[in-house]
Amino acid sequence: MSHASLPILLEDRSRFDWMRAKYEPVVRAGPTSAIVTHCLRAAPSLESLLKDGSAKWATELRCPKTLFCRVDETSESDQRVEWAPEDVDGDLFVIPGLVAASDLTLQTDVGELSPVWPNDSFSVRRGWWLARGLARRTRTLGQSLLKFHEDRKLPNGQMRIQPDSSTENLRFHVQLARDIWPEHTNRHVQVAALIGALARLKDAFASEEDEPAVAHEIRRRLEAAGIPTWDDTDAYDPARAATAIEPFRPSVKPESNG
Amino acid sequence: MIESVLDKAEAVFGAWQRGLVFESKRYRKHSDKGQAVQEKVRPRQNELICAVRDGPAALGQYLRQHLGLDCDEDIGAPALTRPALTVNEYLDPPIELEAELGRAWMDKVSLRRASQPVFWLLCHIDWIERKRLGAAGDLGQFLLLKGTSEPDSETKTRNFLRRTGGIFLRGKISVFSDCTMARAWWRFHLSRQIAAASGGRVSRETAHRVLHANRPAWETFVLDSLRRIVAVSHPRARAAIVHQLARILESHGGIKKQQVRHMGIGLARLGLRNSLGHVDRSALTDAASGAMQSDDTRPTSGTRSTENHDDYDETNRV
Repeated sequence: MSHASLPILLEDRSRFDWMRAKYEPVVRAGPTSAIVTHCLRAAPSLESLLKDGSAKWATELRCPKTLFCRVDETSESDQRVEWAPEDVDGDLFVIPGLVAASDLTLQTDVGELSPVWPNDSFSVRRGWWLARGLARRTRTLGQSLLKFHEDRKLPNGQMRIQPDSSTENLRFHVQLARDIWPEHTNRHVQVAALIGALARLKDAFASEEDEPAVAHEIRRRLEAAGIPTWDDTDAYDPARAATAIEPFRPSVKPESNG
Repeated sequence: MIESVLDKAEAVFGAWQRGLVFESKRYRKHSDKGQAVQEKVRPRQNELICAVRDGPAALGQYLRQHLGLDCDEDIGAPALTRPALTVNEYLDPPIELEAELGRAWMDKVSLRRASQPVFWLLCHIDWIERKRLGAAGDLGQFLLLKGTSEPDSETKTRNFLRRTGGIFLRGKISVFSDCTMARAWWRFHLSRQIAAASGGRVSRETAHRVLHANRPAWETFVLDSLRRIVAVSHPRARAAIVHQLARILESHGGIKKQQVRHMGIGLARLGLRNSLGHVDRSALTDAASGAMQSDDTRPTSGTRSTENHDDYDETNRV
């Protein structure tokens, strides 16, 4: 089965098979489930395959660390996928798409496909990804970086942060005193912890060559926002960096001035 | 296992491991900084080695202290299935013992915990304190040494960390390969998964035989799933690989890691544009078998590899 012989609609449009069609999934993920809203635009031939049931929405779940992998399918454009918390550790990736649920014929309208395709009709075997979305992590960058623990030896109201060196991924252990431990899911506590972690970021790896992927992603986001990174020791502000990635959110709406 | 115990230990585990090892990638051995680090690390290594030599009670106390556990805190680890393992059984569990442990632990150990080195270290504390690893006095043979050689403190320490759950220097593969008890669980788990996903083509016992046959091949099999860019994570893909390997094992008496790698590449190519959960089994078989080179079907000599092999040390990772 040749992997290059059939058109595929990619979310990032890195292939030019389809002239106008777009696949624009939206994924909203929580700790044990995600809602995937699949969305096709300007792809009547793919929509007709969905209507007749020969194509289905499919979402792949993949957790590399626990070797967990599953593909769930549905005919509904809003798809709920769930997983047991005990089946995953670290990052879980959600990869949405549209799959040929049976052997089918893809019959495209004139002009749907790029002129590079001489045909407008294709025999597609079951399993072919007709459309494929980008892989998304289920955790935010902040959640990936921090792991919270209760520390009964810490005096009331205190927090401590240490880099975690047991994993090749960048991570920090955040220890909270007993009295504030119940608030560890509070966003303000999490942002405060993120500020502390970014203050210690440079301690967590030996050199730029060793920079983990998460640090690289943080660097990329800061540079895109014009915010100094930890390379510039004079200008680097961990509070600014952290809140650029995970902003504080006001708990009270501002009063109107009218 | 008791969650609060895991939580406490997890918070300090990484720093404790790091404090015990001289990282030659970070520091030049003969530089001032390297010498200073070695001067800090060596006494900690000696403390660990002495604790091992002093026996189960001393080692349990040492580990509890360094992991932030109270001296009498219940750990609640899954029990070993035999009153005491021999050194050979521990260092290289036969397939029957792996199956015995796997069956006993299947419902007691989750995927999440099984992938965590700190979990297996806590199990070791429990087993050591209950004197399940040999008779008193020979813990060194289990945890520090290999055969009759007397390596330096760095090697002994690394052996200890590998065997009791995995060492951070070896990344994600360590818990699957270096800790033999964790490896037993994973092989049993995957053999069940493969049998269920094979559509009747592969029995659990056959799958386990394949996974147990050759350590480098096992590591390659797992590593290709650990890297998310290689789309062979789906159980049906694993089943296709093991089905082919079973045939080779039967006809040639052994398997090679290159065969696993080629099959993984073949399936990854298929998985780039196809859902491996949906394609026909014939397509999976074609992808696995078609990617093999004919000169890779010669049998391997021997199925045991040395513990400190460098195939998948982080420096050499492909």
